[in-house]
Amino acid sequence: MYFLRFVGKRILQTVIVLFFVSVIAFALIRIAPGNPATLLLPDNATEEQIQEKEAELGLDKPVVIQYLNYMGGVLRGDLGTSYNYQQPVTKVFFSRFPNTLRLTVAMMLICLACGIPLGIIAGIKQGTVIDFVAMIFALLGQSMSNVWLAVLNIYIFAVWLGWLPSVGVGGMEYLILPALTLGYPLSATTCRLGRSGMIDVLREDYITCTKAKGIPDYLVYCKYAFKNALIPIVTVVGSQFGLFLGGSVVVETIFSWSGIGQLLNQAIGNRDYELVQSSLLLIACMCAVVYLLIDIINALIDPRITLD
Amino acid sequence: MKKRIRQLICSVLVLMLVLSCAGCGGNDSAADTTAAAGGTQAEEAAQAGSDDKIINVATSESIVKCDPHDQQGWPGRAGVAMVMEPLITTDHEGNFFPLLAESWDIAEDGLEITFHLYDGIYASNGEVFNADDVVATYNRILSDNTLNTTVNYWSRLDTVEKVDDLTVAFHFTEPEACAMDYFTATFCFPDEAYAEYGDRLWLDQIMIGTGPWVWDEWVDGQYLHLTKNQDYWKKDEYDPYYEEFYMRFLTEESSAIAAQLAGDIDAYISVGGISKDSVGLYEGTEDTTEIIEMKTSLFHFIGFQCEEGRVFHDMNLRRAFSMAFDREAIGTSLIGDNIEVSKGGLSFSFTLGYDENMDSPYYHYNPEEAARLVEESGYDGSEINFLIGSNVPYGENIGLLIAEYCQAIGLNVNTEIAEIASFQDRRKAGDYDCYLTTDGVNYGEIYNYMKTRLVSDIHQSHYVNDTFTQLVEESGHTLDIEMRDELYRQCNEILAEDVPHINLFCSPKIYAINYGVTGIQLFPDGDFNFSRIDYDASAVK
Repeated sequence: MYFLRFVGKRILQTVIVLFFVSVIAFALIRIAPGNPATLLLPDNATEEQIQEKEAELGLDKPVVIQYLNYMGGVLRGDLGTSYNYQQPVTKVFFSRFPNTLRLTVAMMLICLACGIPLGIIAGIKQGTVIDFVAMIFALLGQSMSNVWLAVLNIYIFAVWLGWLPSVGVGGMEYLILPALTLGYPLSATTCRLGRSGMIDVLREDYITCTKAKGIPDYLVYCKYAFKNALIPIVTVVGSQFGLFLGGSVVVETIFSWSGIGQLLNQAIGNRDYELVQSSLLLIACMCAVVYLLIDIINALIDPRITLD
Repeated sequence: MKKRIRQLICSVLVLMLVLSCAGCGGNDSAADTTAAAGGTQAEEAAQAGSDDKIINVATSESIVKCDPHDQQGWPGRAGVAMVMEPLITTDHEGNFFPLLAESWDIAEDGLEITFHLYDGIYASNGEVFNADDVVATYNRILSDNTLNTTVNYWSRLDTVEKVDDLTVAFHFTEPEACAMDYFTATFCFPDEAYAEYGDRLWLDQIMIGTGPWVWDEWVDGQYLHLTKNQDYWKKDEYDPYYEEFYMRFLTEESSAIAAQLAGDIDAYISVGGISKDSVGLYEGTEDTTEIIEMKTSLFHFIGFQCEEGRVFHDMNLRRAFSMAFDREAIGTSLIGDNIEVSKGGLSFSFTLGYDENMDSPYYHYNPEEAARLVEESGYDGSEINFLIGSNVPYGENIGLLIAEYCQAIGLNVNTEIAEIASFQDRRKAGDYDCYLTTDGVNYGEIYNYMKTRLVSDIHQSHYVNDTFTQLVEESGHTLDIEMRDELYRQCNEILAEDVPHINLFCSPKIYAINYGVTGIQLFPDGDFNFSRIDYDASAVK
């Protein structure tokens, strides 16, 4: 029952957050200088033609009316039409979203597969060569810029070795380089978190107690220590997952991976109001769901954390 | 019990994660979203490189819509031009050639142009193409006042009339000097298909035309895929080797070059040209890739705010600004040796109105004279806002160098980089002292530039010269190319004297095309066309 109450409360909070997101997104894109109508028309458009375009886009109405019309549409499930694409926003957004989701999931898998085990092992083997290697891995990952790493990956794996395609969207082989570019820095962060978490947990009395009881080391680490070291990792990795659902402009641009980041970047540049505000709203919705899941997972891992 | 509930919820969450991964996997059905994520069969074939008859060309800009009459960028126009054809075609240097129309007549008063169509043209859906199709196309343009084609080209077109099945007459309200150029950029569609689908022809990518290629799909942000039109009506003239064509949108230059080095693309046609600094990346590919450097009409210019009460209302200060910096030194150091430095007005070697004897004193680097003019002007040292569009190639560096030169003669110039929408907004409101941007002279005609920027004054520069205005208006109505050339020359003289705008230099554009790929048309105004792309094995080194 408490679980349903929690979810209900969070949905209510989410609705309030989404309302503010809609207001802020609507206001911010309009405060930015630039008129979508003039950007859509050639330089030699007359004032009359600009006004005609503004009327066509609904920009001739007072801002409050524009907002009410927009929200009316949102409540009916109509997120508007992109000025540039001349297509419904949902169609444009969801034609790209699977790419962003694939990239985010792949990035997470790399992070989970490399960062967590390496961090945990480094924490257990503190001061050893493994720990040293893990820390070098983390240091490099956290200090390297995405742009540099992306270009390096392309030149090594696509141009020199010819193992992987350089750019574009396609099967698994196309996913590896961009996922690696995004996943490595996150793995580095996770590795550090995992290491420090594990070191802290291993110093706890209950761990000493379990060891004293003669429980095998692997069981102590896996069953008792790992679970507690996992909590900060879940929080950080989960929030990164939510963040990356909004796309990654740099990596998407370099790898020509047509995702949400690239779309939003172009939409903002073109002052495609409806595409920007609706995309932000959709991303906020997804983030809200992800954060809800993080809270639930954390509560499941550690019963001391209550959903209420 | 609680433990079981937790296990159950955990299982549900894991299942959700697995399903979300599976859901975005490689299902290649026809759904748009899936196509975007996983690619089509043709895409996979291209990726696998299973067939040599697939050509991949990278462009630096994406297509955002398919409407043949509402394209803003060159890649979009180049894509449409492969599927739909205009009445005539051009070399962008004032020469016109038959395409859908085999001949044309221009009335002496310039108010009527008649085209005679080829017999036996048919579209990719089998529909016979005749005068009705031309009328339907142009009526669509005339009925929508905000299409890019309408705004750019057809403000003086009044009506289009079918004379007979193969003859169409265009009636103008006033003579249109550049009408023939505009016909080359207006793509025709079949009327029956338009009657059936309306705007869905482009909104749903049905895209039927008479061109040598058939539209397969455009995937936003990724590629445009076309297949060879096996029944092209001019197959005896053009029957390409390639069966499939991909235009890939690679907006990041280093990635596009890497893709070409890795063999993923066959040609890289960047809208602004490949930058000089990146050409070195092609080192070692001399046997596979040809680097083509050609002069184009892309030029940098500075526009002044000439409003009364503003700094550059004083013509002598504009002249001082123009003489303050060394165009050649800036251009060659940043862009390369192959630039063409302006000698006054809009006079470049490939534009109409070019005068090889033009040598305005205000276009010479003369800091002493510039400093003298500043001194005499009574300029109070107030800050001069030099606005630079963020998309201007080398804009920031050019701006900083010019500002430094200007400060040396006593002009307190401060650069401000503005994001493109903001830049346009500021210019439209006249909120600048001077600005730096680029433009291109399409088809070698400078009328549109002068009319839009200086006569109609869309950037609120407040420059007024009645003789100049009269000459521009006259040139816009003059169909005779020699007379127009002379009028443009006179306009250039005034521009060189009054300096409401000062031109810096024309930049060359660099393209990279693999040996063997032929038929990519690169024009001196920077435009390009892929509709005759082909392969020649003998050209491979």
